[in-house]
Amino acid sequence: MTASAPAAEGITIAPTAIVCRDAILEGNVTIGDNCIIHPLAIIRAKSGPILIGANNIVEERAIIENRNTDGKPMVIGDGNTFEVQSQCRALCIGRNNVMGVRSELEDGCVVLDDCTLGVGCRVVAGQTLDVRSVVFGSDSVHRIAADGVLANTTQLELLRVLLPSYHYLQKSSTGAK
Amino acid sequence: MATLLQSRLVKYKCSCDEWSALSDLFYCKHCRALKCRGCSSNEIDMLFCPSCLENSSVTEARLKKYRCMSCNECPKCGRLLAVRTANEKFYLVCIGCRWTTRETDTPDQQASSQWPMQENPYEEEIQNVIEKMRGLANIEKAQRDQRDLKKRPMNSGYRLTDKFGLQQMYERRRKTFEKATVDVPVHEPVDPTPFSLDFLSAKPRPTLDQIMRQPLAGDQPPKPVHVALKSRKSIRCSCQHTLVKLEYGPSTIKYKLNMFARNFIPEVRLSRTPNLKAGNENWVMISLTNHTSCKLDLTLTPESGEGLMNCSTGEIALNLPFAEDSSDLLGTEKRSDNEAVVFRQRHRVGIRLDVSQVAEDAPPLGLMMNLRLDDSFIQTPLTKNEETKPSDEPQWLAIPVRLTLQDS
Repeated sequence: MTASAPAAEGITIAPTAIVCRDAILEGNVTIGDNCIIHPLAIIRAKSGPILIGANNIVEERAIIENRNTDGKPMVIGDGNTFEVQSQCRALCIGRNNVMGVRSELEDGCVVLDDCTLGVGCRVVAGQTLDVRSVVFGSDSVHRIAADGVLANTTQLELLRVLLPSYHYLQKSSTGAK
Repeated sequence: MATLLQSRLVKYKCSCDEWSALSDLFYCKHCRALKCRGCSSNEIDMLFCPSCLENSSVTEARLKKYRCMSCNECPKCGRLLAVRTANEKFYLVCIGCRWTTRETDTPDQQASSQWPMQENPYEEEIQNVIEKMRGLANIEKAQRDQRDLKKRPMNSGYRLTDKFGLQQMYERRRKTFEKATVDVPVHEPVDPTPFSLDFLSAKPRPTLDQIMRQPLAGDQPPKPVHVALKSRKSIRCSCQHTLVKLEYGPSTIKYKLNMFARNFIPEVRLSRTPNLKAGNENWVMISLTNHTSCKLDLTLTPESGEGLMNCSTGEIALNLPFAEDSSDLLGTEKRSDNEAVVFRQRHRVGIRLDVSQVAEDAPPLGLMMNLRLDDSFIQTPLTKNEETKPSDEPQWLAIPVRLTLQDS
């Protein structure tokens, strides 16, 4: 493994998680087991902590930002994928969701399980995405799919091998002292 | 791209008096004229599937209703469907909206292609109607033929031997004559109307796009839509010579023949955005680029007249080297340029045109480009039947050009 740098104060990274050094983490951020945070991903806990579960992938230039007005934590479940340049300002996110490239979840959205947000789609503020919701097309049309989302395990396995060989990593830490 | 090529600003006059951008024009070396899509004929070169690039002949395509049998589109969002396997059987999934064939009554298939199509519920009825119409057409034709035959009593047909199958033809025709009295049953109207007016149902109605993708589906569950074939066209001049033709094969991007106007006519561009002030003496900077493969002699004359910008610059005579010409690098060629020429850069010249603007809104600037055609590079095989030999006198081609100075 390549050289690692210690994570900043307030940031908790699980020992099995891979967080690139070029990823931008600010505020009180907790990253769960087996998560993969690409370089230049932005996780910003502005007005409250961000809790990220296990097996999540946050790709390049994806923005996860907590802008809750009442300082509540933003809770992200397990097995979610935030693709390139997606923006997430949701209240909470369930399990096995895919936020497509350049998609946008506005303030106060709630996303349940197995949802897919298509490329460039937008979910307006305060909306709730039901289980197995799909948002697609240029008009961000909603529909409920019959099947769940395929788990991102193969992608996780590949990235676990690839990312450490090409990037410096942030050391896991046990949180704020 | 349109902004970059200034296709909205600079227009050339086609031989059919229409104004088009240079990129939309073709040049016919036989007519020695510019041609646009409007005054040339398009013919279908090839039919192919845009997703698997398999080409099919016209008869084959017609049989398959101009659709590819192996590629499918999502009935919900129109994306290409992906094939997935489960238990050694195939089903289709849309990557965009996650629609699958498993949502519908379509069972998983043994083969990855040949998916069931949406059947037309009125297919049988339509076939019956077509059959009846065909019968009526035959009767009408027979009656017409009978009238013609009566005028020529000698044309009995009995005396002919059946060497050329004429007797057979005659017999067939005789049978249609007999059928002329057959009474066709009247087509009964359908009740109730086949159109659904059930707007208020709670079920989500298909969108207009989805209905257009499967117009006959109605309330039935959607089926995968076969991808519609695309056609590639070749362009032919009114003198029957081909202007643009691609090489054979749907994936090729090489031209067998390309007579784009850009390869024969220099390109005029506004090199700077004109800053026109009312009532003042203004100038317009244009550049002229020679994309052809030979040296060009041309004169550029600003046109003044009704609805055109008043330009005080006189006629500009120019010679433009081609892009690979190295004579200017060696300094062997001396040019005496008009004072309107601002710069020279290989195959490009910059020209300053003095214009005056009186009114607030600027009219277009008119230019007349007179081009001496050097046909030597074209290498046309001369036909023996050609009455007049091409004279040594150079031919001149006049192309009016309009430049829009105020981009609205």
